[in-house]
Amino acid sequence: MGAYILSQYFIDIYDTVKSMISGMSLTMKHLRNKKDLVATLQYPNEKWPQPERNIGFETADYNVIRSRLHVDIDDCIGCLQCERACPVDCIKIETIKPPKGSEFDCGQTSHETQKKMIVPRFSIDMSECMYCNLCVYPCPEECIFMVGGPNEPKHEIDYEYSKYVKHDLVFEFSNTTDQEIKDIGGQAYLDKRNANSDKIANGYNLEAPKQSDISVIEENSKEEKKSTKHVDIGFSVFKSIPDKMTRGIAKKSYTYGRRNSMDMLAISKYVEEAINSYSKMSPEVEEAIKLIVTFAYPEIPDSETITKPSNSIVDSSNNESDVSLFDIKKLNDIEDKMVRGSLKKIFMSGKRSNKHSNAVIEEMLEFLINEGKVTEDLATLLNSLKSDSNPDKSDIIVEPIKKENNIFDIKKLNDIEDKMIRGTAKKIYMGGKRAGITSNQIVANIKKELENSGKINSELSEFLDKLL
Amino acid sequence: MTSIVDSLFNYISFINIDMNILLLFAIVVPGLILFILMALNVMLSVYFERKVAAFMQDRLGPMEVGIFGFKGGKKFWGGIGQIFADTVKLLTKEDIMPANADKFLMTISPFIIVIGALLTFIGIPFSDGLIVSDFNIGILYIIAMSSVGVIGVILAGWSSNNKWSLYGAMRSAAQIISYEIPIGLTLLLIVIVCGSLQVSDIVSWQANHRWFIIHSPFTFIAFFIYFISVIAETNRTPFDIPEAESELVAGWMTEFSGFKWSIFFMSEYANMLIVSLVASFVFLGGWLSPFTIINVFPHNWLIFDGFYWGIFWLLSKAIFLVFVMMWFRWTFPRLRVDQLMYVCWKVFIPFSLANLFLVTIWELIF
Repeated sequence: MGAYILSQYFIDIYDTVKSMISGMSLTMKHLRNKKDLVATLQYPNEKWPQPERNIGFETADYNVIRSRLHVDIDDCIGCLQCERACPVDCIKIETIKPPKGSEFDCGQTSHETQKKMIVPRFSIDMSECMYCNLCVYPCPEECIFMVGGPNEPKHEIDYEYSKYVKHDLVFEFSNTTDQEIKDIGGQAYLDKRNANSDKIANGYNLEAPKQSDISVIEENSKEEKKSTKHVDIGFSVFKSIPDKMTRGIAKKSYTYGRRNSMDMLAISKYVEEAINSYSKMSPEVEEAIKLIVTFAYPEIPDSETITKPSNSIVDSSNNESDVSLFDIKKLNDIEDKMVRGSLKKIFMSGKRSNKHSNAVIEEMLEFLINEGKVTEDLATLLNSLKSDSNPDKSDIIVEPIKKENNIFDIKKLNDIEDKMIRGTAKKIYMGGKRAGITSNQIVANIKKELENSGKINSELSEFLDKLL
Repeated sequence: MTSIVDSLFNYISFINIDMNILLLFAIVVPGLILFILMALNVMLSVYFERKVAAFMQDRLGPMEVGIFGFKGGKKFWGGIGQIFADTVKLLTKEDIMPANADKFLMTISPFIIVIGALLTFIGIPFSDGLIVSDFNIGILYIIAMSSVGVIGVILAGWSSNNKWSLYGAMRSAAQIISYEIPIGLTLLLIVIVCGSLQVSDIVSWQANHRWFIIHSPFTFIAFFIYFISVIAETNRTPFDIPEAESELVAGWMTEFSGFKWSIFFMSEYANMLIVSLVASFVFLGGWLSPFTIINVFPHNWLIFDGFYWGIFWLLSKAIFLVFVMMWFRWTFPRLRVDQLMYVCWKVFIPFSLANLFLVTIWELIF
């Protein structure tokens, strides 16, 4: 018995050593062949190959696979039928038609249909898609379809398209380049799209409005209130007339003039006539009529019918608009909000310290250069303002009359056939009118712009020359 | 044959300052180097172990935290940044102290353990003459110092005021003390053969004769008894009953977290390196190249021997043994407590005693 136990003891040790060696050789085998034996799949970087499909019948018969929408954008004619069919509006299509008479070739589909427009945007938001397959049926070119299944030859099945952020589930299919959009005359579309994307980009860094902006806005609103007041003050001017009857006539005639949107000068004349017809003219009435004009055109003190207002009137009218300063509303043409605000601020401070408009404009230009925001448009605008406001206050003529005298009629531009060019030309005309430049300059500007976009031809330039 | 302290002392003795200050300098410099070595060792060993474990289990291990251009792929260095991530994580973790814990003991117990490991390095060579102090009782000192950790283990279990931690500490202490006996007996075998406790003497004996692992059948068995016993002493699988992660939640380390726990970790991997270094210079020829395994080649043939080659050979032997420890860990299931004690008291100790007796006869005959 003792011998048996002893032998068992050594047999146990032998077995232990043997099993240790076999166990260690097993693990060593796995360590050595790690390349082949590793079972881990590093998922986002590696994926299992798609397993063979065997569902018992032909995949072509099996039309229920709805894994992802796909668009053969080369076949898309931009008919928008899928967009209309979509019950959840997850398809967004934008198209541009080439202008009439354009040589632009939109290409052909694989069904040899001539395309009539290009599709600069075709996006499908798969996070909204409910896989109803309704967009597939109306497509005349069969270019939108669910991948996989019967469409396996067109596009292989995409059984997982997980993304880190929801926005990545918006699939963009359009392959239109910016150059193509430009060629087709879609500059406006491009600008709009870029502006939109800028807006979105800015939306990601939303900031609270700065204190300076707020104060500018407040000042602007004050200014607006003032201006509305000073139009209506014309009405209260007649309070100084003691006679009830005369006051009534004056007010009535004034309101009539306002309603018919008459010029202030005309109103004053009309009021004067009305009162004269009742022969109620008195020094107070005359004074009041003068005041009307003063409120309306504070910067036109001298004209044929109106005498120069005395200082006392200006002071009493509670409207200390500096005669030398241009109208702040002219600054509204500036597109950049920030620049506009800053310039208005400078304007207001200049107004408060009774500065001359040239000095104010100098200040503005200096500010713009410092900020590095000065552009050609801005500089020309400011310079035009400068030339407008003549330092000799007394010799100035009524502004709108001057402009209308110098510039040709906008209706002449209607003869241009191409819509795009006509629009551009009109835009430039209006900008030039606002800036108060001459017709020569306007025509030159239009030509320059058209040359930039490569739309100019000899006919057009002749036509433009004729306008002068 | 000199030690680091001696040679440093000689180098800087031309500076005419107080002897005691020079001595202090000569001691602090190797201490710092050893501490940095321990820290590097734990960082690299943890990564190494995770990779070895993963590959043995058909996994990939850390793959995502790559630096220096190593990232992903089925490569060994694919997640090397993990070592820094782990370090930062461990050092910035909250240091939790249980409410009724003995705060003083709980604070010092990790340091007792790590000091035990650090002090052991004093007697450990890295190459010919690259040893902090080569004193004549080197082996005895190493055995003594590697047992200091037991005090820290008991204190850690006691101070955390958790009865399961205390149980774990008791088991761990019982295990460590039990396996000290076969370790001491197997090392005694070597001491008997070469007649010295000094580290340099043991290696030079191997250079003159042959490596101890092939010296006799008894030293061959002694090597395996020693190696398995040190695995048990460092509380590694299959002998990690005191801290069995899957069952006991790290046993006596349960209540420790953050920096203190990282100190435990550091001492555990430092102990692994220590026992591997001891095994390599006692049984595997230390800093000698594999051509000296038996003393047949003439001396001028041994071009792979020398001071710098010595560092390479000793470290590669030690790292191989560390790898074998990891290999063990990911191969064998954990022993039961009674099996643990059976292996120690009924197998290793009788075998070591028989070895000791037989090797003396062997030495008398040959």
